[in-house]
Amino acid sequence: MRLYRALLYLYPRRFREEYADELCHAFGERTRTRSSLRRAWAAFADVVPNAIGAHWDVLRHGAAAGTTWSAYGSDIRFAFRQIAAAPLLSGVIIAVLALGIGINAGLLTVIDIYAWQPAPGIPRDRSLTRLLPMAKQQSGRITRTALSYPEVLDLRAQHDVFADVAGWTANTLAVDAGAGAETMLVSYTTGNFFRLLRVPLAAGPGFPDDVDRTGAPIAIITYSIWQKYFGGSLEAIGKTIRVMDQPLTIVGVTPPLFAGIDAQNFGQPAIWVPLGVRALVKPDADGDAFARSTTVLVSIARLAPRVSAGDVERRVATIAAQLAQSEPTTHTGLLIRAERLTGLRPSSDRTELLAAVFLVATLIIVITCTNVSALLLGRAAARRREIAIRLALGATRRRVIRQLLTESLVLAACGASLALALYIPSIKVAYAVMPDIVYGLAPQPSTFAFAALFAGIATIVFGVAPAFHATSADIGETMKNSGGGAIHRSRLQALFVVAQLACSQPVLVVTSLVLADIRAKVNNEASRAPASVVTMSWVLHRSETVNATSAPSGHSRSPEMDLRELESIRQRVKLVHGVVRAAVSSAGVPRETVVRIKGKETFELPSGTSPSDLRSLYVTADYFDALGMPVLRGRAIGVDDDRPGSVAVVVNKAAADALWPEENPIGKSLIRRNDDREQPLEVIGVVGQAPYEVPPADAMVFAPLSTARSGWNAAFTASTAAGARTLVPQIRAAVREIEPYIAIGDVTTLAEKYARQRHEAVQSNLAAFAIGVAALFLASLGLYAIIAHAVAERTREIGVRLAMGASPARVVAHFFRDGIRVSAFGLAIGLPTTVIAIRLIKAGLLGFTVHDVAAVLLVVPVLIAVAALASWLPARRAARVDPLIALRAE
Amino acid sequence: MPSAPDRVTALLPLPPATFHILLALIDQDRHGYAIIQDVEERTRGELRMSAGTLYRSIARMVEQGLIAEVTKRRADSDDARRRYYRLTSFGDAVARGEMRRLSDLVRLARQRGLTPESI
Repeated sequence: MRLYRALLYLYPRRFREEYADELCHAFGERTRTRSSLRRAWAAFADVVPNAIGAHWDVLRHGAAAGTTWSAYGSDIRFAFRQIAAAPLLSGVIIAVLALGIGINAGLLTVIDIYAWQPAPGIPRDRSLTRLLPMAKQQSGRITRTALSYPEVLDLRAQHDVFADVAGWTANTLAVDAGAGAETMLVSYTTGNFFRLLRVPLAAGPGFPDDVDRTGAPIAIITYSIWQKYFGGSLEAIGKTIRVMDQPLTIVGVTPPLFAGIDAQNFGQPAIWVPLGVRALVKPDADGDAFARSTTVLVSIARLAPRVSAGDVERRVATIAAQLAQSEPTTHTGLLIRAERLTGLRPSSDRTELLAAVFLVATLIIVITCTNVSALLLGRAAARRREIAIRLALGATRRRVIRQLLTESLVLAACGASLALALYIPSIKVAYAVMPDIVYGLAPQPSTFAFAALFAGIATIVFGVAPAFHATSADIGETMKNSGGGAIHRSRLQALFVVAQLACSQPVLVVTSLVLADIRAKVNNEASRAPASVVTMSWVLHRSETVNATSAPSGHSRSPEMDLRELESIRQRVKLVHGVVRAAVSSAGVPRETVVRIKGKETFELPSGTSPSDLRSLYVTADYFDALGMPVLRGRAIGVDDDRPGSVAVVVNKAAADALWPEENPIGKSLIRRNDDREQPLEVIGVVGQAPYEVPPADAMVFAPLSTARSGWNAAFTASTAAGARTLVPQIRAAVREIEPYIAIGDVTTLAEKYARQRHEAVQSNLAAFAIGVAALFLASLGLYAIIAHAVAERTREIGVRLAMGASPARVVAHFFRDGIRVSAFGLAIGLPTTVIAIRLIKAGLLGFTVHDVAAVLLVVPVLIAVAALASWLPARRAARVDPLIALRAE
Repeated sequence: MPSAPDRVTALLPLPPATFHILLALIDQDRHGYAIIQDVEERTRGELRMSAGTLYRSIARMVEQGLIAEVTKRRADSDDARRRYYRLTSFGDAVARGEMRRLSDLVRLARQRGLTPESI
């Protein structure tokens, strides 16, 4: 209640005097049953907006009477005159505010997009939730991370928790949109998927409600497919598109930005089909898509009204336990976590990126506030004499404080306006340079308002605090000796310099690392990725009937048959003039492997341990040669190793170092665990990184393609004597000669692939760098202004020193030393934060490749130089002045 | 000085909070917190006014002459901080004017075939 009574001072005086008692009475009655924390919140929520409204009422009323506005108007005019009287200082304050607000609004928008909004193209909604199921066996092994269709229905039936639950999964399949079959990612969804996300389709009615039951052969295509193959025509709706030779009717087009959920983890689907279509287009897929034992669905949910995020976890846990009891065989150890659906998948690498962005945003807020505070304090202190004169002439204390508050508000408003004016064009420039990164960086009113509010509060608080101080001092004393506070002031300002440096240092270290990384990326070995190696993905799309007539082995799809065929394809491609080597793998080049060893298949040491990030890839002979990966020890996988039942495996250097440090890995054993089967394997070789691959490779195990359970016809690599691009038509023709029903897609040379990756990396780092440069400018500007102002304020002291016989050189040296000492202290204080920043970056942030700490050390001299310059220039100027004039200065 | 009907029209349409406060004072004089309770009860909790919102409205309404403070003595048991308000005849006219306006609006909508059920 005391808080509420104190807050009432925010109301206009007359209103407060008239209604304070009643307000307290009504508020007290209204919030009687609430906890003190909720009462405090209610007090703020009640008073702040109403007080602003009441002031507005007074202003409007005054305007009608023609009085109040003129009083405020004269305050504002006077504020502008004061700003104009000290143009440099005011300019710096406004520039610092504008930069601080602008950078912060940008950074907060990034955080907002990745951490709070659902994926692009999905309307913002707090009730969208990601369901993360996990079944843990007693041994601690995780046996699944997805749900079955009946489980999705079970969860959907919990109406008190969920308004709706949907599921989806995806496969790379052959899709023919009219220009020949290509490989594309096809997502199978439950019929309510788009309805649940409330994604407004660009065209078409979408899936009907009962599609799960009917399994109608229909599809929703992406905006880009619509544009590319149908010219964006509405006539596309109702036409057919062939997926694995099955005709599906197009019933919808997704909006332009929509890329599904978790596109960065699962890839971006090109087509969405009902779950029932899976049996049609992928008859060899494991299990019936609607069976309880087929746990393949990634699930999302929309929460029921008034179900809070905290409730979900607990109530979902109860549901999972009930499921486990009713179906013990399939649900043992089932846990379902629920997390809000955001553009960022939890625990992905980008979480660290966001942590770093948040750290930088916070530091920039602190730098901005410190700068503004220090400058305003200096400004108010310099005006003590003026304030004293006004008080002596009869101005009330209240009147003077109101005047200073108006000045602060005008400064804050100017800063925010400038930030807004610069923010929109700078976003446009950024979009032109980095379209992939800033697609969502439209100025968000909420984030901008937040950043402006923060800076505004700092301005007002630090503008008014000295006003209270200045107006409470003894007028006579102040007028007699205005230089008395200089020492106290300089101590305070030294404190600000320390805080400023401590905060700027980590921001600038991050910036310099980014800069070094850009240089590394631009000049790195990746530019040597060969244009002579081409990779492509492929999918067989012959239907069972076609298969029966064209292939001697009938409709069986045993790996042996296809492996024999694969080998024929490999040999046939090698005969193409110009092709040197050809290899097949279960996924593309190592950096992009999607087959992770978790869930159903693991590679472990006989002792049962395994590095958590160990990944696997199944390859044929020639794979390492084709990609230019050197064999460091032992031998590569050869044609003889590539047979079912083979126990040979090759590891890369990273895996060898992790599994058998300081030992020779050749001949060592590894265990492959598949469901509950175990197979002992033997390491026959160690391969290194390809020369163009700069970031340290992940720990990898390479096994012969014939031993893979599935996915053994996913990617194809051909190494050629010259540019591979020109040979692509011949390679395609050669492949189709052996296997006519093959869809080929993602055709790219390594040079193109790495150039694209580098372009993206440089883009994202460029964005970070731009923010860093702005931060450096902000920090330097503030640092210079604070120190220079502090030194200039001591002109009188300099005059005294000179009058006492000190030489100008000694005086300058004294101030110079002071500046350096304070700066060094600030830098030392900032060191722990800098270490945290470096650690965040080293944790894989942005794919940094920089090991050179020298880049970090560059920052220190820059900051020291700014501080030194700021101490030296004003001191030199003051020391040149005649001591008599300096003594009179203030 | 404008005529009374003109003064009424000048205040229309009324902000919802103002209309609810007028409604709360039609049958009896009430103090601030009683007005809050009455509005909340009548709207089944849909409109929950905070103390600040209420007294800003009251201050404006007193100024406009829609309501006035009751100066009669209260019972000794009553909280001394409470002040009672009553509807003035002008306030009564404005409330009726607002009601007429809303009724006309509803009639127009009905003529166009709009019913609440069709929403």
